[in-house]
Amino acid sequence: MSEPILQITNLKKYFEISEGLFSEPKYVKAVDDVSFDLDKGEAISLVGESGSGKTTLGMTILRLHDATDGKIIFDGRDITNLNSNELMWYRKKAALVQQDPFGALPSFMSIRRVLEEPLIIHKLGDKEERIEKVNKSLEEVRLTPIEDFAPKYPHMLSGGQLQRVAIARALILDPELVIADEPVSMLDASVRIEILTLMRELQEKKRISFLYITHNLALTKYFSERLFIMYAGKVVEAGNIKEVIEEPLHPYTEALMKAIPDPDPDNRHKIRKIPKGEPPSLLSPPEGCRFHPRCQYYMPEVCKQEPPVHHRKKEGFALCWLYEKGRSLNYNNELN
Amino acid sequence: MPDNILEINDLDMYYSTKKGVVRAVDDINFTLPRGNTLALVGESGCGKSSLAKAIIRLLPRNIDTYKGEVIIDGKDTMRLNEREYRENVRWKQISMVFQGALNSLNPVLKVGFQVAEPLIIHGDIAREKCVLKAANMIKMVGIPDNFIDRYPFELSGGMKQRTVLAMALINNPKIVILDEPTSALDVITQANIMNLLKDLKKETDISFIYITHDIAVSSELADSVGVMYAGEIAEIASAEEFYKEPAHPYSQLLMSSVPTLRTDKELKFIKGSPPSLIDPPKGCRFHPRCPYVLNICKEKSPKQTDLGHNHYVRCWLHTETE
Amino acid sequence: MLLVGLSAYTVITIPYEQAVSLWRGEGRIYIENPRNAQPEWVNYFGNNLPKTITLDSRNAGTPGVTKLITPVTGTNIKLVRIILSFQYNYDSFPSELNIFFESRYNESAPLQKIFWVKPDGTEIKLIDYIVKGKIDQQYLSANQDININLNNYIKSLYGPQNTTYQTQTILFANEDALSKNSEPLKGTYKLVIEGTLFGENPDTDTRMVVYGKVHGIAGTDHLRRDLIVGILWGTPVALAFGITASLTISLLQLILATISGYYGGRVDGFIQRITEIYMILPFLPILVMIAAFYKLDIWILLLVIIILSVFGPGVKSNRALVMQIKEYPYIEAARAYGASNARIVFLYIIPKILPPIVPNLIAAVPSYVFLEAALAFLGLGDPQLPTWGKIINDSFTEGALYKGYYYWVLEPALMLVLTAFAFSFLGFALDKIINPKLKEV
Repeated sequence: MSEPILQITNLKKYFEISEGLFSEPKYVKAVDDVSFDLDKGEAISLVGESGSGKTTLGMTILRLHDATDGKIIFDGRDITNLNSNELMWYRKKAALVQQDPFGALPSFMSIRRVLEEPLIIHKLGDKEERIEKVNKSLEEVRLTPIEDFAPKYPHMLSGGQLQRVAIARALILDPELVIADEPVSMLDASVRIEILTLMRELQEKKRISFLYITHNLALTKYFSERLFIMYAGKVVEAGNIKEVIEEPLHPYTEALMKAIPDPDPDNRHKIRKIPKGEPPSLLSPPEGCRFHPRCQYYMPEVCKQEPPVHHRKKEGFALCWLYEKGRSLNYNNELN
Repeated sequence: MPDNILEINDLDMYYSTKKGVVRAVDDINFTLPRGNTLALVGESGCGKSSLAKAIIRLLPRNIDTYKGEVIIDGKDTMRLNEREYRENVRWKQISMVFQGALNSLNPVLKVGFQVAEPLIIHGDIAREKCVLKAANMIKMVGIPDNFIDRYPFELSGGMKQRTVLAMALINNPKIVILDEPTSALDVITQANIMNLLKDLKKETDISFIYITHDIAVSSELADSVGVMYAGEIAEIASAEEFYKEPAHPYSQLLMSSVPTLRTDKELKFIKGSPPSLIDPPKGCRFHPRCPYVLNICKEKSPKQTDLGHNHYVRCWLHTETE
Repeated sequence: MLLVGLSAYTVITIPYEQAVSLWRGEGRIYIENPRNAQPEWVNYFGNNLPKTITLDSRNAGTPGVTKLITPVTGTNIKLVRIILSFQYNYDSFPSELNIFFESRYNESAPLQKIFWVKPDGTEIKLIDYIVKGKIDQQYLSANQDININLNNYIKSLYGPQNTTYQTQTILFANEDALSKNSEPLKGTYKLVIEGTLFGENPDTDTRMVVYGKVHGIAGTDHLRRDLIVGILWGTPVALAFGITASLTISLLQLILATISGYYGGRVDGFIQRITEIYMILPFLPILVMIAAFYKLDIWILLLVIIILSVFGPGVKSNRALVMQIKEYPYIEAARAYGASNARIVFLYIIPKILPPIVPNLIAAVPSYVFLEAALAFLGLGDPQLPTWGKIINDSFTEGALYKGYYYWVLEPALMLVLTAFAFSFLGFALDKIINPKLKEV
């Protein structure tokens, strides 16, 4: 068993919204008490819809936001409250790949220069060594021949190529953790597979821990081992991907499974049995279990209180009252 | 009444840019039976949105060529001039929900009014009746009554999409084109909208043309599927034949790049990228990326071959070489 | 383009210090230019105004110049006879007539008798004159004695006259038709100098200048300075001033706006409040006050303008752009790989906003040029440098419009307008090129 590279404990990130000079401040509870561990070299997926808080969670882990409460421990060191100077070593160890390939690179820098930037900032090597590292990283992401890409500017490259550069930039400081926030959602379907495959290869080869943030549940099993499902600021279910897909424990996970189509011509004849409504606002989320207003298993006596943690048999958990009451989901892998 | 609500013959639409003429829609032929839904799938830049606009005649300002036949319910609409088209065809017989429609609602008009507006503009019906019809339509698309008097900013993403759908349906068109209607919505809301469309399909005679890059979602509605590549239709087939056994190499590669939740399969990707529409490759437009490329593919462009039961392919592998 | 070429040419041909000294008229460099002369090309419009004619006895042997020295036997005395003759076919009288002497002598200065011969043969004695030094001059047209003599001469011949004529009028006029509007007599004129030289190896030379009414491409001003020098040299000064002002102020405002927008919070509030106070204060009156109290060198003036403008409207408008750019993914990425805030501001944000600002920067140059011209026109600018505003100022002080010297005012004004056009068009063109690119962003 490998030791955890990242330990998140009771992490909270609230954004304050002030409505006026005298009214009480309100909070957008983007991340509300999340805890999990990430092992060295492991790839996990964080799945949630827009507004679930998943991006904020990623940003907070990277210390691009300050945590409101809780602890972030990276490689044994508590980085929750370090200031930006103290965090410089962390910046080398934890990297970010963003969603928008077109905005992720400064438009006025050549590709070579873009990749040199992190090296220059951290004063790694002289000019020659930097160029060599840049060339090597371009080869790693298969942007070859190098001279076809290094001197060009971002607007000359396609989305897929830009994302490769972003990946190269993330890896050039030899990080131990990479957080990829919807890295392929803006790319074409076939390019997605290419990029994700590339990331997977590099991840396995260099034994980097990866946190994929995505809304596409179907992709996750191809590129990661564990799955975390996020809803309204909370992680409502976690576990081994294959197990969760086969046997979801949380009603929201069940709803997701029922809602996602596989390409099947019979789909058009069936109405999906899924909850109505939309994800709640993080400004005033439902009390207790966040999913209870939409849940078909809603139990009025208990669901308005914070649900307990129910552990899966092997690993993982779900936040739900059902199991306390001896009930379970009627999940049968059918649509309706 | 003709069987086919829509028949497209030899449709071309090119527009001119500084770099050259973009052949966005090139030699398109297909038919759509009444009440059926056609899914148009393809990557970004393949021309599917342009095809939609060509069908509903929303042409760009820099239009270069626009010819062919667009026969709606037996009548060729290409013969009509702009005024006739606007009064009789657009939004009466055929309407459209655009990509990014969520942002196309007028923020200063109430929801109910916006749905009624297409009716009011066409002027045939008295205003009170329009408002009534609008209210009915809003209910039909699943929006609660109390939202009729609200403004768009008070609506959630899913409800905005339903509103735009209501606007498209209000005149009881025979054909509705939907361009990526759910790509900005979360998965469950998307499934709810698809349920709504499935209901509409069952209860009315409307034919949908559903444009998307998401093949999995397309199977929720499609009776037939058309794959577009570089401005042409590479393959068009019934849903059963397409999802189970696609004939064109591009379709096959597309299918193998779709991650499936419930089944295990190996994901493949297509190397290379879609070609420019200004200067497409000589011969078959897909040949630079095709794993089965033959010599003839590099020279001559394949015509549409009929494989039987309304299954057409543009591929030399399935054609007798002349 | 034209202006840049012009200023480059000027900088090459006239070094800076020389220009200042030229303008100040040090030495007697300009002494041979006519005063207030119009540009020569006005002659193309049907006028026939005289050009300056210079004859020098040292060039003996050239047409029109003869010099003969004959010693008187038995004495140390030499007689010298200098004849300077020229053709005069203009329709208008010369503006001035001066003679310059250069002599060599030990004890006794040469004695000169100066005669004037008109084309019709009339010979008039002008003056008996003892040279007053090695270098001497006789301003014939300004000499009051000569003038009185000449007027008496006319009176004796033609009776009392209504007015007193100018010397050059009498010397050049057709005496029979003498009046205020008469035209000069055309033909060959001669200046004859009969001089007596004393001592050992004496010599004397005479240079006569018949001042015309036209000179050069641009005419001259009241100090005989060739206006083309002023116009030409005004170009690089104006350009340097305008461009430096615009560039510096735009850049400084940009930096302030970026710092304000990026850091937000109190820094933002602080900078914005200072900007607002600055903007309320009246710029021009304060500038005029400062310029009036202190005689300013043009570069100090530049500095003052910059200091007074630095917290200007650019700080506010650019800030909006900065706040937009701040949200771009690449900024977030930069923070993720450890870029410091200062680095982000200067290396990531400013290069992005710079392109849209350049057209405005260029289009703003004329306003600074006009500012300096306005101050100079009011007499508050740099008194030494030849700027266009200064030229206009001079012209007004000398009552140019009243006296009909329109060219004196029009030429610098034209230059100012040209500058405005040039930069505005440049700015518009750049705007068109740069803005489509902005849409991609």
